[in-house]
Amino acid sequence: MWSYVLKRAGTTAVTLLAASVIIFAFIHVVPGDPIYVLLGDTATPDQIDALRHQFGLDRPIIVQYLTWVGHVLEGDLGRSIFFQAPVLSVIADGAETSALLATMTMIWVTIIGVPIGMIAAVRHGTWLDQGLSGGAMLMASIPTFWVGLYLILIFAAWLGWFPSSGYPSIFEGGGAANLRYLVLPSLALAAPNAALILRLTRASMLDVAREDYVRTARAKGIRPWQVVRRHILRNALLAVVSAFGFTFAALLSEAVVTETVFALPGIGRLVVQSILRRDYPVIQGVILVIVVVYLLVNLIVDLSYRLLDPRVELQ
Amino acid sequence: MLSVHDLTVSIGPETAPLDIVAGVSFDIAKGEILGLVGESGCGKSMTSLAVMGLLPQPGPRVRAGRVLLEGSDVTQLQPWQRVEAGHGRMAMIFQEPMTSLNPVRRIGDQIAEAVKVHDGTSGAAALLRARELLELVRMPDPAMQLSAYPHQLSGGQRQRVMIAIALACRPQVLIADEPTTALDVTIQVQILGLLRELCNRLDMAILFITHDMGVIAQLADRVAVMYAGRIVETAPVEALFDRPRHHYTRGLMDCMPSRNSGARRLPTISGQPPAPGTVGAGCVFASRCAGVREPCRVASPPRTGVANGHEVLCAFPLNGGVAS
Repeated sequence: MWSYVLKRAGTTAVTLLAASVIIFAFIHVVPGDPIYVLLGDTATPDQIDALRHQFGLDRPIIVQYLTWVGHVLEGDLGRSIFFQAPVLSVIADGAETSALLATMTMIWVTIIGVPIGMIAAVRHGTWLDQGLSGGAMLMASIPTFWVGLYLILIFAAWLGWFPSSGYPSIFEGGGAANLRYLVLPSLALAAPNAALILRLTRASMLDVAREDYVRTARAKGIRPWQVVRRHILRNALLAVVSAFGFTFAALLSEAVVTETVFALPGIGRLVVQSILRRDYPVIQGVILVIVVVYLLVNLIVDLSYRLLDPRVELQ
Repeated sequence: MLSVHDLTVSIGPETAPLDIVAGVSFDIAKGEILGLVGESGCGKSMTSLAVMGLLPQPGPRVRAGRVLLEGSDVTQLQPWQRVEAGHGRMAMIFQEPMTSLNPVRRIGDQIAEAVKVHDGTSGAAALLRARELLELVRMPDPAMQLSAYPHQLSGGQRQRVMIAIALACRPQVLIADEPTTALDVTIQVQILGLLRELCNRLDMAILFITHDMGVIAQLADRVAVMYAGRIVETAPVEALFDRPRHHYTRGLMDCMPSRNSGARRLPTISGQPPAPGTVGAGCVFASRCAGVREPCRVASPPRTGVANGHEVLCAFPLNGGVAS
């Protein structure tokens, strides 16, 4: 187990190194310059050169890269050109919103997708199944921002149950009650992903229900719902768990749109704004953090596989 | 112990059902092994699933006939409903021991689960009984195997576990659907020996399904030969092998390689079994029968008793012995 974790850590480091090269190269290929964004159109060439020198942007790109990597290894992601603050603290400001949003979304995906998928599977072929599966298909095909706008319209504008935008930190006034700001955005984010998990759960359970060992279980004389719970569900969840890794990856990109629609001060919006501002250190830092989180989530998924399936050997 | 009367299993719409098992009847007594033999697709597995109440749903259904366990009608009941009604002492083992056990649960749990249903015991007591059952099926090192997962066992060991699960309900009737087909020949002999021993020791009735005449000869007390969803001949095992009366049974025996068949080509039964729904009037075997006569093609053959306990579904049964 621990040697497996070490090996995974090794491959993770290699992946990160490759990711850092790609991130750095792509950003500098994109036309535009943070200096113009900062100084505006009226800057003199002298001012521009001075500022460019100050940020080290006049040095060869290789040198810039190695300097950056060197600092990252020391735990320093650099300073934001726009915010004039350490990148780490800029990311930390957005991290709370994004982490809570992602967590709430995954909770919705799990408590909506898995049980309803189960119900559809157990009642498969009935009108209930067709309704649920059809509804899931619909939710999976509607774009997140559109769902978001309708949620705002119905639950914020008409019913007034939830706030429509923004998010004050739970560490400031209001405390945990501020989580209500994240209910609508997390539901919007969850909709297509829960639909996917629902359909996967249903399909996977129907597959497992045809297995020989399910027939053995029925032959024992145990009740139908116990057959589902003890024999079908756990085996069906093996396929669903691996899908959670992909879902999380999808979440990272969908969050960019959702945070924009709901005006949330999260990482997704930070990326978009930093790209518009050509704030290189922030873009690099955020994407690096996202890559790390993604790799960690997939490591957790792989480890949980071992818990669910005794046949899986971690090597 | 087990009585099956006129069992008919159908697929397709209610209004135009196709009978894949048509009017099958047999009885099995305590301590007796009835071999149900026939080629693939003749309906023997469907018969066994119907008797056990395990027909896949949605799918084939019992359209007519009755299954009586010690006189109680259990025809339309699934196993859990039989347990509730107090008629749960029937168990089944299957052809594929590799896939018949849940891969993510321990052997002990899987046996104990069956014990709990039938004994009403829980936890430690059920595991203790699971261990006894593993000893009963001569599992090496039963205490250790309780915590093993199916993928850690061999095919023969898994089939022993399946038998242990089946024995958890203290069955009066055990259905074995080709339990040795997927196993090596040496393991096959062991499992057959175990079934014979358990049958005698626990006074069970066993319905043993196979396509292997050799296994039948070795194990069964009586034999029912099945063709195209019908039982065409029933007889004590010696009588069947000494004097087969149905042309199909005779054909099956001629196809068996023997020590003195040498290098010559084995005879075959020409043609194919009829697909369900293509059976018209007359005998189902008429198109392939070596002894077919004109009446066979127009009228269903009668079921005739030709000797004590020997019945044949044929208008012109054979008289002689086995063909040379």
